[in-house]
Amino acid sequence: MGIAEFYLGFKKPFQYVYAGESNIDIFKIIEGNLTRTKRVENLNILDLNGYNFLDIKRELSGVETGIILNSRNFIFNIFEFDKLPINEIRRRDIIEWRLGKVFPENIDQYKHDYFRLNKKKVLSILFKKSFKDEIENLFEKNNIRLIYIGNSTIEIFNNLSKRKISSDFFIEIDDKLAVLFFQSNSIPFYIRKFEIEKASDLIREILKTIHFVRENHSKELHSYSIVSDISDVDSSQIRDKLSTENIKEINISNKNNLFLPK
Amino acid sequence: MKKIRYNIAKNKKIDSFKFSLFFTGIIIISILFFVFGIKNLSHNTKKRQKNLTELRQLKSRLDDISNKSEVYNRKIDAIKSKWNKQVAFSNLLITKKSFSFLNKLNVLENLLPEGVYINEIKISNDSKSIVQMTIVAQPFSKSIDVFKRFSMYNLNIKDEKEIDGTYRANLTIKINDEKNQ
Repeated sequence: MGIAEFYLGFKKPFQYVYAGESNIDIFKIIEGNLTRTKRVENLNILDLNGYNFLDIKRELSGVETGIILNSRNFIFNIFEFDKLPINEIRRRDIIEWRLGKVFPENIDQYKHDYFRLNKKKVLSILFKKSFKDEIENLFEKNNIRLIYIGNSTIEIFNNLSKRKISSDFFIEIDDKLAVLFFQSNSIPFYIRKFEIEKASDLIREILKTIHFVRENHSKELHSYSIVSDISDVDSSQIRDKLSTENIKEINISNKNNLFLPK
Repeated sequence: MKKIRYNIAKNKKIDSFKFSLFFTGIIIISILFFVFGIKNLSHNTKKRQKNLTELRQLKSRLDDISNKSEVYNRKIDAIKSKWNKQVAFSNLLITKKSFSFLNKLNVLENLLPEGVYINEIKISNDSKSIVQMTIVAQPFSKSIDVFKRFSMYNLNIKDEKEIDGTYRANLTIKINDEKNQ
């Protein structure tokens, strides 16, 4: 990442494709707000091909476009080091060496990015290169200028961090995929994603994870937020269970499309 | 914590608006620095010129004072010289005060026997304490008596002659001052 990118950020596209678990949504800027203009149901990004992409292409304007993928195909790791080298190459080497200890596959097949969270902690994100190439080729073939490939969980974290009151963790639910993202003083310290078959699985996994975090990270958890499509989750059950753990919900409006860059 | 800027698109672009703002900001800051620098420099130049003028005035005053000081020094030297002369003169007077004519004449009075007169006398006022005189003695035998008495005072007879039974002699003796004796 260059200095300009680090300090000034990336150019925001005028329209976004959100690739969820079972739907693909298209968002456009209408009257200054990102508004969903189309939903293609029962379509996963992995199933996209020249044929079914036409439906999406018809909706997209010939402007710069971004795609936000849910965390299904991303691998997150948070590493802690006593000391990180200042030199970028040496720093990457030491992080990838550490990653190699916990990640069984060949790292070269993945696009690996890392972000320094503080002096000691690093967030590492892996994304399969072949998948990235497939997406870029698909958009390129359809003459759509793709300038942004992002991740929904990271965008939610960025958007929630801007708020005055932020929760100790958020639960991102997209159909059968759930991500629990724990943070302390806006610094992520634990991320877990898991598959859910039924609502009881979700609550059970959330509670297990909360206990794990309390025991292994010695963090007090007092608040949480849920980021999901209303149809995906019955938040009342989660609220009831977590209230017994003395964890209160900080309600956030899911109309704000928190999974998109702002 | 800064935002996690995660974008893995190969055609990602830098936010040109933010970049322009950032660049404009830098340009404005640079211009402000330049303007303030120039202004400060000009202010400093004026200040320096003012200081230089003050310095010149001070130097001029210093030169005046220095000149006056020289004049005063000369005057002081002149007064000092005058006073030195006066002091030297005073010292001379003091020295001269120690020269006693009376003492010499007193010695002569005691030395001269009856019948011997001093016709002419010259007393020098110097460290040699020489008394030059012409004595007249009648008869001649008196002069012998005088010579005997004067012999204790470095007597030096320059000439002597006898005319009509009166004996005349030019002689010198040395009579030390009382304080030197």
